[in-house]
Parts: sequence; C-alpha cells; structure tokens
Amino acid sequence: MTRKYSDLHNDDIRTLLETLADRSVEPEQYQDTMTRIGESLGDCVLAKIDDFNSNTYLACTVEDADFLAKGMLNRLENQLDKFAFACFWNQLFSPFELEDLKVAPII
Amino acid sequence: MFVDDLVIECDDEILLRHFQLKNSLSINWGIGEKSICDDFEKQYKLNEHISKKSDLKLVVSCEQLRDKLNSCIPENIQNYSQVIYFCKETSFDKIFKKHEDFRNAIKYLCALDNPEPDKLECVAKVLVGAWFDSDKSKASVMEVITKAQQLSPCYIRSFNLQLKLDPEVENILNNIEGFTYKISKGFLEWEFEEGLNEGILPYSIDSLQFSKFKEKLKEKQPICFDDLEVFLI
Repeated sequence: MTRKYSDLHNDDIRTLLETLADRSVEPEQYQDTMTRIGESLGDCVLAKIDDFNSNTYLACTVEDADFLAKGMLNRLENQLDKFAFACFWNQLFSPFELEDLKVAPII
Repeated sequence: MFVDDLVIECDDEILLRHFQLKNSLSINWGIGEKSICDDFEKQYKLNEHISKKSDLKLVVSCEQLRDKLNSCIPENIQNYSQVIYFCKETSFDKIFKKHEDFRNAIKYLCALDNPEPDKLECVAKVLVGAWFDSDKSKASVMEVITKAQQLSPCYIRSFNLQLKLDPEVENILNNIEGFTYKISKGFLEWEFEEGLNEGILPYSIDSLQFSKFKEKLKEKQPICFDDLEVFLI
C-alpha cells in the first residue's frame, strides 16, 4: 500500500506513524504513540490559530477519545482560553449483516 | 410484466405505479418490439386487462436526458408515461442534497423532529437493509418498515402516538437534577445541563430493549445523572 504524507509531517511524526503501522507493536506502545501523534497534531492546529482568545472546539468520536484526541487536548487546553471538547459515541453496524451497507450513527 | 424494476400498488387504489430505471445516457424511447415505448404500451394494456390504471415512469440519472425524453414521449403512450430524474450517487448524504422530497420522506420516517445527517443516513440504510432482506417479489411497505424497526439503532419513528412512559420510570427521570427529556415519535430524547450531554435512546419505548432499560432503572433507582448515564449510553 502506498502512503502519502501531508504537509504537516516531519521526521518525528514519520517515526510515530511507522510505529503505528508496525503489527508487532504492543498495545501500550501503540496507545502512547497515538497520544503523541495527537500532541503533534495539536501543535499543528495551534500554529494555525492566530488568536488564542478565540473560541475553539475539539470534537472526536469515542474511539479516538482516549489517545489521539487526548494528545490534542494535552496541547490545546493549556494554550487556549476558551476551549471546549465534545465526544460523540457512535455505533458502527451493517443492517441485516449486509457487508456493503455500513452505518455509524451517533448514539 | 414489462415495466418492472419497481411496481407500487396501493390496496385502495386502482392505479399501479411502475418504474423503469435506466442509467445509460444514450437511451431513447425506440421503435418496435422490446423498445422502451413498446414495453410501456404493453404494460398499459396488461394493466387495462386486469382493470387497473397505469402511471408509468422512466427513471434516468441525468436531468438533461429527462428533459429531452419528456419532450418526445411517443403519442401512443403519452397519457400515462413520464420521465423523472433520480441522481446516481454513492452516499445518502449526496442524495439528500439533490432530492429534497426524498430527504423529507426519510425525515418523516425518522424519530427525531430535527434529525442530524447521521440519523437520516441511519434510517435510510436500515430501510435499504430491510428491503434487501425481504421477499421483493411482493413486499408490503409496512412489513419492510416493521422489519427495519426491529434493528437497533434504527431511529425509525413509531406510528403509535399514544405511547407513554411507565409512571415509575417517569418519576425516576423527573427527579434527576439537570436532566430533561421528551418522547419524540416513540423515542426518548434526553439532555443534561442544557446540552452539556445529550442523546437519544437507540430503541423505541415500546421495544424489548426499552423494557430492559426500564427494569434496570426500577432496580437501581438512580438519583443523579452520574448514576443514570450508564444506562443511557
């Protein structure tokens, strides 16, 4: 599979992404890596915000809340004055077990 | 049957609505046997034979083609034939944007008054699933909807507007500070502290799952939102 990197990447982020892609990585290291990627993403978002007094909202789905979004939160909530967070719980399923039909409503 | 991709029959009407779906951009009414025109004419005669009226629609996925074909409907089938447009898209979200009437139909079937796109998509996909899982040689619309309603989540409205909460459950919920709720077309929509936390139970209040939810509340008797939240999610 080919991989394309966005403009946000650097050597550190590439290393983190390679860790995620490594199938032999232990769950704890995977979780830690995901949090660190979240922190890097948080830094990238911060770099694009001109006014730290503005309202900022971070929204994520439940599967990203514990690690990726937590990493972003670590960076954003310390720097931004008006910061809010929302976590959406969704449920992925295939109605009548039809493989091509997938839906993930927020519950 | 000659025009048979979809046929809708209402029990109390003598009209049969037939739909023929065509994606090709090069179709035309044609001449002679097996042409679309011929199929439409034969379908009309067949329906006439069983004392039914006909409303025959050719469905295409290009608006220009619809206009072109509508402007040249052969005279012999003009009285009962029409060309309509329905987009060929890969997601319901895109279909909803192009077909307001279709979106409104799904919205009518949705349990929420102002559904977000994810709920509309869920209703549509659960219905499609139920349709695929039904005997399509002759499926009742209500049977397909009822089948879809068995899934959870489905967010398909209840048609029983008399549904009410058990008074004991009502009492438990009413006594939780900061918690408000309403029953919307058979589903329980809730909110805590003016939107700090909110949701809708993914099953209707006349479902077996709601009975279980109800029994748990009666057993545990939650007195604050923290105690209640585990049953809501």
